[in-house]
Amino acid sequence: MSRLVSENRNALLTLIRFDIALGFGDRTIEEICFDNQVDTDTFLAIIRLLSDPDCKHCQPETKISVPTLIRYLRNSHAYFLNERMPAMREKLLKVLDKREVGLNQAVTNYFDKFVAAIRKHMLYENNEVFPQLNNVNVTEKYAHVFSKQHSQIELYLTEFKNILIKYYPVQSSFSMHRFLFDICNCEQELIFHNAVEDELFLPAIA
Amino acid sequence: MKQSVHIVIAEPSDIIRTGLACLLQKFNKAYQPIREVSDYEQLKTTISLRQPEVLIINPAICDLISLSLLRKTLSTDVKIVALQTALAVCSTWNYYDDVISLYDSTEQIQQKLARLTRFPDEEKKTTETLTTREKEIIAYVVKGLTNNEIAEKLFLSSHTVISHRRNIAAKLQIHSTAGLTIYAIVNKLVNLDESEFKIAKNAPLPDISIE
Repeated sequence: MSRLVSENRNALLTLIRFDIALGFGDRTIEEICFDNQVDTDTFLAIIRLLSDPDCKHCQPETKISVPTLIRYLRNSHAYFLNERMPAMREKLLKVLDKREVGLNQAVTNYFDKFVAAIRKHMLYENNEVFPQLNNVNVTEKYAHVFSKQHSQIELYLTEFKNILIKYYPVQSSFSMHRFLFDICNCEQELIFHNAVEDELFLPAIA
Repeated sequence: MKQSVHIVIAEPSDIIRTGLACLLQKFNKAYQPIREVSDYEQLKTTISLRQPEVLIINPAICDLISLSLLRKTLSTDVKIVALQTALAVCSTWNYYDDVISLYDSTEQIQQKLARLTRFPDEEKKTTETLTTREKEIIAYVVKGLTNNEIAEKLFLSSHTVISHRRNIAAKLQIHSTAGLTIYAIVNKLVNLDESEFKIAKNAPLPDISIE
C-alpha cells in the first residue's frame, strides 16, 4: 500500500475518502482495505480510474461494491462542501485586491453561485439518488441528470478560472497565482470525482 | 465551452490501435475520450453506452452488412472512417465517410479528421471583439433584465437578443450572468452605483445556460 500511495498521489485523495489512516508499514493493499472494511476491488477500480481518466484500460468486469462506492462518494461530497469549498472561499477573499470593491463583490458572488450549484447537485445525490437505488426505473433518469450537471459544474469552475486569469487586474502578487494554482487542483479533483460517478457508479447501478 | 470530440477506434492490432490513439491525442486535446476496442462485439457495447462523434474501423472486423447495421444504430452525424490496413475492392471505401490508410502521413490524418469534425478555430474566436450592440446587451443582462425586456428596450426581437447572447458567450467564453457581471465591471460597461446592479447581484441565477 505504501508503494501505491507514494507512486500515485491521487491515491491520497482516495484514502481520505475512506478514512484510511497513514502509517501502513509493510501491509498490503488488501490487508489495509480489509481492516478498514473497504472492498478491495472497488478501491482499486477507483485508483485505476484516477490514474487513467480516459478509462482506456478500465475493466468493466470488475465487481464494484455499491455500498463501498456510496461511502466513497458521500465522504467525497462532505469533503468538497465542508472543507474544500469553504477553504477556497477564504483564500479567495484574502487574495482579492482591497481597492476593487465592486469587482470583488461580483467575483465573490460568482464563486458563491458556483458553490451553490455544487451543493445542490451533491445534496441531490446524497438525499435522493443514494437512498433510492433499489428502484430500477430511476437509474436511467440519473444517468442523464448526472452527466448534464457534472459538465455544468466543471464548466462553471473552468470559467471562473478563466475570468480571473483574463480580467482580474492583479499587480504581480504571488498569492493570486497560488490561488489560481489551487483552483486548477480543485478543478482536477472535481473532474476525478465526477469521473468516479460517471464511469464507476452509473455502470454499477445500471 | 469545453468542446470535445469523442472517438472510438476499432482495430484488432494492439500496436496499430494504440499508435493511432497516441497520434490523435497529439493533434488536439479535444480528441477525447478515445476508446479502443478490438472486435465487433466490444464495438457494439461501447457505442451503445455512448455515441461517438467519430468511429474509426478496420474493415477487417466489420463486413459491409455489419457496417450498415451499425449505421442504423448510430445517429446520422456520426462519421465512420475506414482504417485501411489491407487491399480491398475499391467500392468498399464508398461505404465510409473517409479512409485513413496505414501509410498516410501525420498531416494527412490530421486534415482528414479536422475536415470531418470541423473543429472551430479557437484562436480566431477569442480574438474577436465585441460589437457596440453586444456591449449594450451585456450591460442590460448584468442589470438583471430578461431577454424580453432587453428586446423591448433595444427594439429588437427576443430571438435577435438570444442570438447576440450566444455570440457574446462564444466570443468571451463566459456563459453565466455572474461571469458577465465580472466582465462588465472590469470593462466599465456598467456603473457600480447603479441600483440595478444590486438587483442582479441578488438575483438567484445558479443556472448557467444562456436562455
